[in-house]
This record gives sequence, structure tokens and C-alpha cells, in this order.
Amino acid sequence: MKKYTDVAITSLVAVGSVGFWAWTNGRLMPQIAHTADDIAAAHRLFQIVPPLSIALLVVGALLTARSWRRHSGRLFRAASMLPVVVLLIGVVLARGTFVELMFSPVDEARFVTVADAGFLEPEHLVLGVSIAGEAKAYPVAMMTYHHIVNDRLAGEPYVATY
Amino acid sequence: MWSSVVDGQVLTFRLMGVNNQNFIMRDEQTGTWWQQVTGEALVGPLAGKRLSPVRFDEVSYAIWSGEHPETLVLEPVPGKVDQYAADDWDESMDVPVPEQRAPPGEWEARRLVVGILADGVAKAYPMDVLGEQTPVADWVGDTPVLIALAADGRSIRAFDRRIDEMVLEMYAKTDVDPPVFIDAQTGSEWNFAGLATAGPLLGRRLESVRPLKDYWFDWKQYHPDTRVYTAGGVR
Repeated sequence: MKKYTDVAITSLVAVGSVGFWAWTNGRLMPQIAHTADDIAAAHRLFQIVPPLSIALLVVGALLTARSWRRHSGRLFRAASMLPVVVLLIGVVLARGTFVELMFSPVDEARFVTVADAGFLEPEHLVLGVSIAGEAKAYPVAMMTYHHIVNDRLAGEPYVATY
Repeated sequence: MWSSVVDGQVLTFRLMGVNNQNFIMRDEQTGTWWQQVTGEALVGPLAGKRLSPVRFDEVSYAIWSGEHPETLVLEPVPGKVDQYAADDWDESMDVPVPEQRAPPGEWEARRLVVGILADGVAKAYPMDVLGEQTPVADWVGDTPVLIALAADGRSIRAFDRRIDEMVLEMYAKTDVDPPVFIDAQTGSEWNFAGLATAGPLLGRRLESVRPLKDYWFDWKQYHPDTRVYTAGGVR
């Protein structure tokens, strides 16, 4: 059983990494009207998430390397890599948030002209922007999913939100 | 819809979390958190700043493309199409409203309202009342406003109904869509974009006022002192 001690510890570290990310996200999830203090506290927590996820990955990698030096066997090594993969996922998750995974904001939006907008019915609602004679329309039904489109019109950068 | 420029820096926004069923956005450049509906920086290096609004319309595609035939249209993102909501999602929304620090008072929490801000005064107009009375001529602070819905009951426009020093009394022409308004003072005709298309004021344009369609509880949360427009009278 001693053979798996480092793997077990690494697994706990991995659960901690992803768990801390999920818990921190949860601070902003219950759909209540948060107080300013709640939001400030969540903001402080979120500062810790990315560096912590990297620190935990380093710890897990070192433990796993130690166990590799001490023990061999293809099955053992495959099993010992699993928590490291979870720690890597933790590092990736820490770069974003749960709501972002859910809704995927758009940075490189693609547009078509009216002639090619057959997917849209005349009665559908759009958010329309017009700047310096140029115009763009964002169908509301699409914006309720993406929520954020970082965009430009006539050289003016803006964020279309819903 | 907000300008991405704050103090000369162009920000890229991401989604952070949810506050009162409204998103908190984070900008990648400074890590500041912003409340989506108010544009206010809640916490972070830019806390206390506000994003500048970008004028936008919430109208039917027919009206928008009629006014802007050259418009570009956001293309559905491949693989995401089945995630998109039904077009009338806001009227059929049945998720319970979030727990409020202060109950929204006057009206049912999920009543759809049009919120107007002018001269530091907030005022809410229920969509159903606007639908019956459109256009509604009213005052918000010292600004005489005109709020109108198209025949679909969903396309919204709001204007400052002053031309020079004159406060126009506006009436809707019957059975036209998009709506056409006539002012009592000069008899000029105004289209749904606020442009005079006939009469003595031909070519003049009413200044837009930003209408925000929102649920009552959400509007009340961010504008606790809001006034409310009621069908039988104003207070």
C-alpha cells in the first residue's frame, strides 16, 4: 500500500485544486443579490485561484516524480498520472470561470449581410448598433446564450452584452 | 452595450459570475469586475469607474433592417445553435427571482418594464401598459420623453420630445407599423427612428433616450429610488 501513498496524496491535492476552483465559483453563483462585501471577498478569493492551481500542480508533479523513482510498472505509472492530469485541468479551469464555460463569450464574431441572414425571422428581436453610418444587429436569442461579444464598429471598440 | 475604452485602455470582457441574475464581467486587462446591467466597476483596480454606454436599440429585425438595409447580422456560432433561446424567452421566463435584500414593492417581480434614466431620475414603465397606451409622453426629471412600442409590443424606442425650445405633444397615427407619430404643434410626421419625414419639421431628428428593458426586480435593485409609471396616473 505504501507504493500508492504519493499517488493518494497527489489525488487529494488534485481534488483540492479543482474543488477550490468550484467552491470559489460558487461564491458568485447562488443567484441572489450579493452585498458589496460578498463581491469584494469573492474577488480576493479569485486572485488566489490561478497561482494556487499552479502551485498545487508543482506539488503533485514532484510527488509523482518521486513515486516514479521509487516504483516502476506500467499500471502503476499510468495510475499515478491520473491525478496529475486532474491538476492540469485545474490549471486550465483556473484561467476561466464556470459561467464562462457555460456560455462562451464571443471574441471573433462573424457577421453576414441581410441577404444571407435567412436564419433570422422578421419578427425576431435584435440589439441594433449604428455608429458613423455602419450598423450591426445581434439577435437577442443568440445573445441570451453568449451574453458577451467583444466587438468593433467603425473603429469603435465596445462590448455587446445581454 | 458599453464602450470598451476606459482611461484610454481597450478592455476585453469575460464572464465572471452572477449577481442578482445579472452577470458580473471581468476585464482581462486589469481584472476589474463590472456589473453588466449598470456598467459599474464593482471591485478591482478600476473600482468606482463606469463604462460609457453605447447607444443601441432593441427592436424587431424587420424594423432594424428596414432602417439600416446595410446592417451586418451576427452569424450563429457553429455548434452553439441548439443552445440559443427561444425568441420570446423573456416573456416565458419562469426561473424564480433571486432573494432580494429589499423586496421590489409595487409590482410583481418578473413584470417586464422599460427603465429610463434622465437628469439623475429613474423611472419604470411596464411593458404591458406601454403596449396599451403607446406612445407614452411623460417627464423624467426635467426631460420630456416619448416612449413607444411597435405593433409587435416588443420593439422599443424612446426620445427626448424637445425640438429647439418646444416640447412636442405626440400622437400615434393609427394602423401603421412601424409606428408613425404626429406632433400637435406643427402636424409634422415622425417615423419610429425619430426622424421627421413630412411637415414643417421635415428632416429634424428627436434625440434618443436610452430605454432599458428589464425585469422589475432587477431595475428596482439598481435604482431603489425609481419612480413608476402607472396606467391611471403618474407618481
